[in-house]
Amino acid sequence: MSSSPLTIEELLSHKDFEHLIHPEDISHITKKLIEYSKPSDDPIYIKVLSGIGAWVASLFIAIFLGVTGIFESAYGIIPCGLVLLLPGIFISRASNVIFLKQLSLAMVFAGNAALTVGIAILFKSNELLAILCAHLFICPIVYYFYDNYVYRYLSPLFAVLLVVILMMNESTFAALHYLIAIELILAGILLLKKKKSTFLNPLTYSVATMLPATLLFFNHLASVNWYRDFKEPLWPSSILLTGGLIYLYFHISNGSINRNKRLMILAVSSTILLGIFTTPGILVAIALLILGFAFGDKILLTYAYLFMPYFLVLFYYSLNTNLAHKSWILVGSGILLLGVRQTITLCQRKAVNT
Amino acid sequence: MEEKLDTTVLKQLASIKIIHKLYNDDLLSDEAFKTASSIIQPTEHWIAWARKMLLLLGSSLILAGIIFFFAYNWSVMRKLIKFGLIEVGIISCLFGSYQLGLKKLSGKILLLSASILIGVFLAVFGQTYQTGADAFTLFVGWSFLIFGWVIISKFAALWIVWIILINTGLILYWNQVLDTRNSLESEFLFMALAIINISFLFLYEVGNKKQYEWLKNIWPRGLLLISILIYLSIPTTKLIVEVELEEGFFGTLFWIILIIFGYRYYRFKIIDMNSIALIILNICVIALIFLGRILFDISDDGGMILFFAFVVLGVISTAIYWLKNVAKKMKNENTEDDQ
Repeated sequence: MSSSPLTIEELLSHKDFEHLIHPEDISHITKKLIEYSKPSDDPIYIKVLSGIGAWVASLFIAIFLGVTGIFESAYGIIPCGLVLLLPGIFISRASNVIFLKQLSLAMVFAGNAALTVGIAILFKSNELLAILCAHLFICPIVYYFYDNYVYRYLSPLFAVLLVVILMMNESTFAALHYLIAIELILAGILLLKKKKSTFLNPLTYSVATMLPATLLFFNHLASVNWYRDFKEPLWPSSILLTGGLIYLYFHISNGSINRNKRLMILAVSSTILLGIFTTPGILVAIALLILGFAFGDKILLTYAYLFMPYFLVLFYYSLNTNLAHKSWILVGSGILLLGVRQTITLCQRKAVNT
Repeated sequence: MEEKLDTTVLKQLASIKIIHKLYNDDLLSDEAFKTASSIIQPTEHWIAWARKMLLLLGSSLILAGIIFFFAYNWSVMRKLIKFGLIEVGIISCLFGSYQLGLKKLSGKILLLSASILIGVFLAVFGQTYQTGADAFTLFVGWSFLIFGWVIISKFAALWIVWIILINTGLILYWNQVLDTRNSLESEFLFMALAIINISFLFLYEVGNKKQYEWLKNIWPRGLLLISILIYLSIPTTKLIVEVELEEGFFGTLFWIILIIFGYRYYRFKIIDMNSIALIILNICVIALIFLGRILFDISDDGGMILFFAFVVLGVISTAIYWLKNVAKKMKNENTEDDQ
């Protein structure tokens, strides 16, 4: 076992690795590493600034359109939406000027919203469902043609938001588990793909956001009890996520299960217990933590660090018992985790000794 | 003639992220990828990481449980038991910390737990002996009592907890003592808070420059800078919105000085793009509030709303252009230094 971090040079000349690459591959790898050192993508603070600016501007554009009275009929909104959306996409492809890129993002946000609402108004019977269907139709098309990270990240999230609003409106909360299942499958496909494409990168992070966000929202409804119509149990989602997390362990372990049988048994049994006794959100936070560490992805790790405490607080808050019992449960949970930690240490020592 | 490649890139640390990138770009076979992953992230690394996470989570839950326990039971418990249990908890944490040593994370976390329990002790003391003291005395006393531990801990998280206590103590002191005497404008509170946090930020930067191991993470810088910018943005925003020079003038002046100095410091001394981005974002927010105030005072019809949308885009685009420019210049300066 190597205790100090290796450089790439040391890795390439490692006794277990050197026979797996050809000598000419080293020059290709070197060229690629030089390319990686020149950032091709905007850093995250630029994306955040860009997203906030365009979103605020699109709000003001939408307010302006509202004030002009265009929104009074579908025959006003739909052409308006197209006039914003299509030139917005065109401007982004035609120019690299920052102001125009920002303008195009604001136009695409406003145009997407206007078009979605306009199409929905045509279907007067069920506007929310129509808005959702319209957005689900428009979003993939714009995603394909409009190469903007912020739009590609936010648009799928907006689709999920519409689904949630529809569920709340119709009080069809059983559909939550179908939504979780779809998000879980998408997350599994995108995050566990062998090779990830830059085209789907924004969608990947969008899915990594929507899954815990959906669970957080419904956990809130169930725990805080401000929405009395919500009586849907969360155990079907717990089962799905328990299965998903266990699959993740096997996927990440890459076939080294035989060497780590005890640890795998401990991990699987702990996960099953967590699935039974805690909220599904905690399972998602653990999955994000593992994926973040496995891929060296700081964004996924940040999501995990943000969502985990929140899910834990919601879980203990919602326990139907007094503060005294809650305190014992908290202390007991803490001792259990420290016990698991100690068990891992002992398993590792045994493995080293044998 | 074959181009000579710069092989210094091979001297960088091999991270799992780079391995994934090389694999995505078809430069590693499936087997090479698996082997590289197992070399860089062997099972032992996973185990060490899992142990660290379990320690952080487990100790947080135990601490939360203890706090809840006292919250529930304090009214029915006898004084002796209340104080006895907390004191046993503090002594146990201190003993454990001493045994494990402050070089280990577990030792530092036990010291942090003992520090939190001091606060629990003071809260229970205040409740039991109803002295009528203001709430700020709890936080001030707490920060005073744990100061020695904070110094020896070399633990950024404990320092941040201590700074939060100082900030809370000052805010409560202002509200409960100074404000009741109507002696000072609230902008001086925000200025005082900013000065305190700037002092700590300065100490952090000194320690970071000296490459102290426990200050290598940059999150304390981000946290402190955000708090300073928020504190000084409040009187500045108030001055712009209410336009009363009696309140907000000095706070705004201080904000301007901080922005200029902070920008120069992180641009030329420390060279941290994230901090520069935070400062620029803060400038954008204040600038937009200022411009919005002026424009919507002139007119608030549809045309002005549309115009303001373009103003927003203009300000943000300028900020992005500035940041990209600065990043490029910093990179060129780094390359020149390396040569």
